Amino acid sequence: MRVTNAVYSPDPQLRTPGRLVRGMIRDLLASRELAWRLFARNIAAQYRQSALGYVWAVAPLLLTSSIFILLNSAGLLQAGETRVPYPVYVIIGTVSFALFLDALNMPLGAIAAARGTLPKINFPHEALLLAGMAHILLNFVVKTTLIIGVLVMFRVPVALTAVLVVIPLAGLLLAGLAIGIFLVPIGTLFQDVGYTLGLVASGLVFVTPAAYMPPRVGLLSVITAWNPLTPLVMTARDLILHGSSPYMPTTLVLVGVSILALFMSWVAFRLAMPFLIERMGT
Amino acid sequence: MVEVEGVSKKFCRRLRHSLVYGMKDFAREMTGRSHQGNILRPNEFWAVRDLSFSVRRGETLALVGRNGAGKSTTLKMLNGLLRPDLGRITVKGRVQAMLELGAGFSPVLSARENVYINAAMLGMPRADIDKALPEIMEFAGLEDVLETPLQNFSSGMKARLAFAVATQLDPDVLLLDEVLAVGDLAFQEKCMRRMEAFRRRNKAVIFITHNLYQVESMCTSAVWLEEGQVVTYGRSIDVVREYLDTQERRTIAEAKAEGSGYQPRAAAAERAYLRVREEERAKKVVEPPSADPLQIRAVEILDREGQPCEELPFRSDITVRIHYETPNPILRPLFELSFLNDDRDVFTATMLIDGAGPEQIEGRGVVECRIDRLPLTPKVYRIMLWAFQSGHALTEVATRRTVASFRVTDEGVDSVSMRGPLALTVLRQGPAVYVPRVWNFYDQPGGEPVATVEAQFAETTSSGAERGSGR
Repeated sequence: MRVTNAVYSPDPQLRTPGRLVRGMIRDLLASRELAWRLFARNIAAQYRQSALGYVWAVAPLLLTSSIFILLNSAGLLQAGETRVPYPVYVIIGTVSFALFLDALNMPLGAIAAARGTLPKINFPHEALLLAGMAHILLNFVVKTTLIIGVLVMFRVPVALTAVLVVIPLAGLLLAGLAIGIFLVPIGTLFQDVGYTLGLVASGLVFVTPAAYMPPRVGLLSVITAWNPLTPLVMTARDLILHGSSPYMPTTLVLVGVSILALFMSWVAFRLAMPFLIERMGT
Repeated sequence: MVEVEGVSKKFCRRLRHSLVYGMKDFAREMTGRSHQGNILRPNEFWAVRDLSFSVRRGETLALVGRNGAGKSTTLKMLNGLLRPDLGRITVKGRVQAMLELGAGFSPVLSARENVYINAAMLGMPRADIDKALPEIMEFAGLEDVLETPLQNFSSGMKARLAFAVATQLDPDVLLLDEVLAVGDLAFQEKCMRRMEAFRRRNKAVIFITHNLYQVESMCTSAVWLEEGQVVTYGRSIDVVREYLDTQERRTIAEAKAEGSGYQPRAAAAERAYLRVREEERAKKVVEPPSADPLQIRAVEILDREGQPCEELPFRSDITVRIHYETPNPILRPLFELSFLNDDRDVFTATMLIDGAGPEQIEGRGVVECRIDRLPLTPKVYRIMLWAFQSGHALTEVATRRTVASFRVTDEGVDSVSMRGPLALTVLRQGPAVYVPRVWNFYDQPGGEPVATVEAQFAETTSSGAERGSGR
């Protein structure tokens, strides 16, 4: 019932940018309630059939962190001089990094999950992304209990300015969403994108300083220096542990770029959806 | 409220091509260039071609046609799910589409939870859902299973739930894709009533159906699509008529193509019958192994002017003219004509009841059977002929077989005062025999009738004048 006074024609939507943007804003507003419903449904459907429930939100993270801690304690990993107990360092790093990864994978997954509904019901597709975002945030909140736990356990003091951590975290979320949404058009048509994404994600954790200090020498130092995730992850951790970060200016620029990129991929997403739905068949 | 102007839509037969084209079209869209909608690329075809129609307030339009004719594609374009490749669609007011019942339902969630999600997806605010929930469950007849997971529902129950939700939304334009085909009869009746109420409240309804009864009884207009193209667009009754006419002509054409001359097609049962006779005959050496003693040279159907024809108006006079040849005399011949529709006997004109012909026939001759005001409804019929000699004992002289087929058209039905809501469709799709009758209504037995209902037939359809005091 959302369609009111609609005109459908093959003319490119970019030729009427005003109408395009109005439509985007209208659908975003209209999709809030549906997004909430979908979010609640996803949670219910996911945990109603599971005995351990939210444990599954943190289990993969615990595993990754444990492996790093194990490797580090065995001297197999040179994490560098972390100034705080290594478990604290690695858990904050991997939780922050996982936020980016979740955001990166969510859009393609959300569209794939709605494949049965998309060709049948015309609803604001933004709702799928909003619901996915809400799910990511909920999972993140669950994961922050890990951070709090580890901070308490190792009696690490936290500065007041740690609240600024929302800035780099927002950067990680928005950057992941921007790239993830941008990949929806081609990724929905060709499965290869999804496969590639899985590979890249598993490699990315090793070239992002989530579990180690950025190295000073070697190839990895070059990669981490150019990796745009480095400043975001470092800032997040620095703010929690030390209250300030030398990476903050870069982070602010990256957040700005992410917002712009997110808007552009949202436009691409809207333009692509009719073509994608047509090819999802019935 | 709905205006469709010259709309076309193309699809691709090959998946891989389709994906590549999808990327290319998307790339053009991203750069603001129009994609070449009017050109078919390799492996593409027109799913809908140059479609135009309009639906105003209070109108109901049916889309009819065979599978793959482009009906669902049209509905999806009206709903904005698919973009037309050419043309323009304008829809005024709030649109609600039901392309598939239960799309988006989650099996592990309860009926109540699914109602909330489905309604939200269709754009209903939460407060409205809260208010409408009891009515939805009552309409669907599922009040008792509100908290049951949907996976325990039958498909009919799911369909009822989905229909109840969708029609609760009170849109200005309702799009339905064959959803009335589900559910039991009582539920279908409910759906019909709700759609009728829609129409009366000046809403527009567009729906796909294969049920011609629904088209005639519920629709103001109809579009008949075939291979993406409009065959007919107009008043629903005219479209139904043309649709049926074409189907029936096809039947006759197919029958002619299969058979030869005046013997169109032996139906399966008839073929089996003939085979058995053939075998019996082979066993009896005494009987002449060749053809029947009485040879049928030709059979003609004549209209009331005596002109050979293949089609006759409803309630018209008909004459079946049989040209025969018999080298040996046949004593007291008896002919029998059976009229069949869909391989079922409708009635038989037989001299086994009426009495035998002349003492003897020999050589070439003609026998005609005239039936006044043939009591057959508009359909395709075939005639099977059987002949006997009743000299000393009853013996078969011509094997029973199909000799002709013809069609009763609904021409002239308009001039008959048949005012029933489904007159045309029931005549055309209902039972084959039509017997004129009179209905009288009385306040008390033996009194004067307060109302009389009787179909009146115009002069043209019968040789004699009809008496009638219908109203």
